[in-house]
Amino acid sequence: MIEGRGLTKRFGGVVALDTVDITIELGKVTALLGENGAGKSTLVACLSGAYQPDGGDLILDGAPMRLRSPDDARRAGIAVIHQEPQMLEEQSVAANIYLARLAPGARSGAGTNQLNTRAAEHLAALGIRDLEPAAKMRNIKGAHRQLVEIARALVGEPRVLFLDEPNASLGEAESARLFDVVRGLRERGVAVVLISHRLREVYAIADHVVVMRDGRKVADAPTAELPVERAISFITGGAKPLAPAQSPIAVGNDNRPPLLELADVSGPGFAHVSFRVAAGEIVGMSGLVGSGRTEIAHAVIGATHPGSGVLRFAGAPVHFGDPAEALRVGIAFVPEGRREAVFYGQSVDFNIRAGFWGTGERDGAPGSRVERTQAVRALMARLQVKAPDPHIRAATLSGGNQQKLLIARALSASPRLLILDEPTHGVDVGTKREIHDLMRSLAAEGIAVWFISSEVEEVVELATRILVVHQGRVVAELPGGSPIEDVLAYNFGEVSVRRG
Amino acid sequence: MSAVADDAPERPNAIPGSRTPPMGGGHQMRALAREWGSELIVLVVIVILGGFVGLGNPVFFSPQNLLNILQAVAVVGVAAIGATLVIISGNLDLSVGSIISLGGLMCAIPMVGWGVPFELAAVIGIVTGCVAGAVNGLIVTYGRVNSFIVTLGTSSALAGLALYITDRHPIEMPDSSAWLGQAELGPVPVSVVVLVVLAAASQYFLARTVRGQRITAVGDNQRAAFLSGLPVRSTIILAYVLAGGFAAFAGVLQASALANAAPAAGAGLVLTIIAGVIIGGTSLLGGRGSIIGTLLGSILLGILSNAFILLRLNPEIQVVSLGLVIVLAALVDQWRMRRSGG
Repeated sequence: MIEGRGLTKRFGGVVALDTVDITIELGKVTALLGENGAGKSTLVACLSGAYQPDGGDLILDGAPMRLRSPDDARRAGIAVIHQEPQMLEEQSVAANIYLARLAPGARSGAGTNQLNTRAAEHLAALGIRDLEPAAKMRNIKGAHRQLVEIARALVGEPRVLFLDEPNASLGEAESARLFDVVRGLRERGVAVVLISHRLREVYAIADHVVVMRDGRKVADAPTAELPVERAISFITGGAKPLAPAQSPIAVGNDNRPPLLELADVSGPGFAHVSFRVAAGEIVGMSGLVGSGRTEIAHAVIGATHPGSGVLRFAGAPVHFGDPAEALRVGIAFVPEGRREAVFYGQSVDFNIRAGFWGTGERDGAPGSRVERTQAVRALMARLQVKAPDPHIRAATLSGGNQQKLLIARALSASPRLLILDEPTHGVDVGTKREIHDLMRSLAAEGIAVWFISSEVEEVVELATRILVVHQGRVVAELPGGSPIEDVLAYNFGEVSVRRG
Repeated sequence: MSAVADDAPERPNAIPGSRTPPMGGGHQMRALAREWGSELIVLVVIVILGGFVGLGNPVFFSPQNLLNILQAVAVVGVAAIGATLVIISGNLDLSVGSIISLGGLMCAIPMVGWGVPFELAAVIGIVTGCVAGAVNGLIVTYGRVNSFIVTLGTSSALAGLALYITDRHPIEMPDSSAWLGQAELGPVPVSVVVLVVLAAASQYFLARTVRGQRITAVGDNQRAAFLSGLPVRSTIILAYVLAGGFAAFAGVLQASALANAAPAAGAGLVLTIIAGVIIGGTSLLGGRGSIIGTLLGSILLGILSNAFILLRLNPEIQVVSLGLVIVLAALVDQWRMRRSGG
């Protein structure tokens, strides 16, 4: 049994985890629920040695203890399985499962045949019979990768196993397969903590539910005592009616011709998607991680290539070979991960200015150096980028300021359509409000804004129109300000929760 | 260095609203150190090394000797300018040595064979280098092959081609070519003037023009550049074309200086060229570096080899010292980057 008492963790000024008490019991599946940024991952990190809590105690089997590193946790019988397993792709399944045989102090490695035999026995004990131990890891896909990681974690016979969104990118059948293995672990007396957004599937397996919100624990009860509907209201903080000030600005879009139109577009990770975005609109695309939202945006800007369907921009059919072509007609994109967007080694100024470089020297961008410098200053001021001076390196800025930097870069290209993928992911509340205000004022200026978010509240609050993506399809189109429960229900493919 | 580079690792963020540097002299000094830190360190090392060599043999300080050093650096320095652009773009060009040989030959052959005037023949040589660079760039970008492998291959292929077209015989350069590599402008050799002018122009290109800054952006974070709508492929190809052009021009310069275009003229120069780039503070991971740094790095290596002559040291030790300087430069750079917070 592992217990956390009063666990607190701060990052800079942000309290990510606020005096959380939690008890995880052996032989049970505990579901850890909450929106992105609610503090679930931070809690797991504190319980598994990845983070040192700033306050509170960890108690293992009644004795207080400190976990200084993930390795400490592993020795204490605590293992974590991450969303995207890190594997040696060119090695066999067996070699990956017994990777720890190469750790310092481990006994000498077995031969290939011996390793394969041992792996087969180990997998069979977990009820996994369709994995070939000798297969190359790079040929293993989907749920089987998670199963290999689980098998690897179980070599050390852990007593507590954390699964961080293990099924986020899995289909239903694969997800069921994974949960069968989890049931087997429970029978063996392992404590399993499951983080997942897919409530229906989670509820089919969990014994106990813990809900996090804004860094606090807001609910903690056996599954039987906390029905799905109540869990959802805890997750979202109750379905509050929107205050008028928060309501999206009304923009008549019915008569406007669409700026961007997708007609039955299919591509890698999504299929048969049709929707339109008009100038002055804020279209919010809601969907879980792995639902295909980002893939749709990437296909539109030409980062990947749609397989079929028609894409129209400003009335004309278009096909972009790469994002540079999309930018030239006025489509700017702010990627989801800052890792794939920030030029970390370069200055703030350079990062914003880069937006001028895609459009070609003459068209679209301010001509002279002085004009560009003025434009960069103006954008920094408009986005309230907090940097001591424009020449410091972007890597030294906070996450929120890096995000503003990226929006400034996109705006420097004077786009007609701005696509933002998770524009407020991991930024603090104040910055989030600033980014929201900016998006509203851009729409008011006549820019078409399309944003993607896994935070349902944000979509409901900000969007003039809502699209919900589930398993690669747009499953619903709702007006802005729709009830949070409705959007959530479509998100989870859990239409029965939907009222009316 | 791969054709499709992985994302740069996320570096730890500092505390939001990190402290504002005080204004005034201290601020300017810090800005100078931030912008030109690597170059200043190389400059300081050059001064210290020069001081020691001069103490051992006062001839070192004579203007004639200093100009000799620069003249000896010219060929390697010009080729290193192009190599810097490729390395900043996050790639590598190992074929510069072979292109030096080829550039010299493709200048000599039209002159000797068809009576083409030197200036036009030089352009033919340079264009040949640009074409070779374009081939490198096309394979790296459209073929998505690691640049190390691609240019290792083309380096061998071009070296073989140079031997094949000349049947291993060097070609003597007509006297009309001598002005570039042998003449002087006042007291200063023409080749030194050319080196300095090209370095200054390339530094301007890299730091101030759109196409130049795209090279830095692509090398810093290729995925970010792609998603931000920068033309990643044409940027990398441009870097290779320039690298080929500069290397071929270095070959012309060398042929002119030696009055002789040899099929293996550039064969041993790759290590020195890339060493100069790295010593000058350019990151092999891409995204960081300058032409001024490369110039200083190449000069540092030139002083080192000059020192071995003036101090009558064992020339075998010079090879050892070259290796040590490369490793030392990389260590100093790592230490500096860690101190400056990622």
